[in-house]
Amino acid sequence: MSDYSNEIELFNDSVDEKASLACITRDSDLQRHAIAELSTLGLTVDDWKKRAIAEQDEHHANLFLGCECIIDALSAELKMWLQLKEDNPDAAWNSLVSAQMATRDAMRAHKGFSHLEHRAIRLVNIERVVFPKQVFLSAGLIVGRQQCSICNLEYEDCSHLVGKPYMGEFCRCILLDVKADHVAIVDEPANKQCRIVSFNTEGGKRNRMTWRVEPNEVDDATGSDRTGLITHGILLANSDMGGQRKRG
Amino acid sequence: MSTLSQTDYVSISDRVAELGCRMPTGFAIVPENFGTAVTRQELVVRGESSTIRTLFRNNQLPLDDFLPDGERPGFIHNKSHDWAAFIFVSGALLSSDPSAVSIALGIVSNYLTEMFRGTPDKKIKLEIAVERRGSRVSKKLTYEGNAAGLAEIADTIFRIADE
Repeated sequence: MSDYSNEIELFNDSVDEKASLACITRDSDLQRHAIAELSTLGLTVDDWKKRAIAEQDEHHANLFLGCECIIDALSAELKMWLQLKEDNPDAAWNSLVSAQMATRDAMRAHKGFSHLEHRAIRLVNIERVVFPKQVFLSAGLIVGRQQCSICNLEYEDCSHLVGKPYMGEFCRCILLDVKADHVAIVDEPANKQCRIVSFNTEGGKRNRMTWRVEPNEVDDATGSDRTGLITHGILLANSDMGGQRKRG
Repeated sequence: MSTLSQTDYVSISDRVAELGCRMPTGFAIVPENFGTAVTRQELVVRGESSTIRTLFRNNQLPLDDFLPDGERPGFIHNKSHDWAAFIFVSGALLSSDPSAVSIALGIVSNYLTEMFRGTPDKKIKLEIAVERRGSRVSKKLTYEGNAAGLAEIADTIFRIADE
């Protein structure tokens, strides 16, 4: 098996340097440059992971999966600060949630990342201090079949567990034959990107993040004069527990 | 903060007879609508229960099914609360292998603690239908709290079983 000491040192040095830019006061150009460099580093880490997989070295394959998650988390956090400075808080919220999920993914990928607890808590604190309280949505789905992303068998018939890393890849449960059942407002959604974005008010719709009243394109286009509490929200997002990262 | 509450539950053996199901002798996944379904074809279990099945199977814990061989319930996935499941503990298991309950809770607790690292406030919900020893009366215990606290409710299960 390969010795990855040099690769790990290179990764740590590069990430530490970029992490120092993860706050709102840092220069935007430096932050954009860091995001571009992290993207390149992600390709390099993917090559290391592929080598570990080829050698059936699960320890390092999962370690590099965690590295990829850290790259995703740091990129997302840098994007969040940029988007806030660009007066785009809805996008910044999605980036924050991505950063939170990727940080937790890293901690699950390999024991070597358990020290990231403080970063996870920092992101939770950013959510509480920087953003207004959100109203979260939860979709209830009736599912006919669940497929394991690792072995493609029926999920409950195999030995893999959702959210665990296997040779550089998180096990996910792929939902098949899905029917929508209900939507609920919840305090703790599975995915915080699922939320009420705006609600109808006099003169348009009020954005829950900015509190600005914006044009209501749907009602304007259809000439609708709907009354009552009408909201606009996100019900499902393309990321869920089980790991955002797939094998490259 | 965690909470543990106890309520009456439908007679498991009566519902098994009404729906033409099997009476489990070990642990089993309880369908969400077990108390209200008219036919067993309507039964749905939470998606998370499949993970419980795998955890129990991987650790050689006794797991039975309510449904006859070859039948599989539908799954309900609620994108909230992050994790919730409903399991049954038979009176026979409590008598024959009491340590299995503590082991099972510890296994689920360890898995969830690992899954929810970095989210210390994350609540999980586990409902447990407990069949009293020597009778067919059932109670439902509902735990809501963090994953680590789950391992500590075994004593309550035994107390309910003996009441």
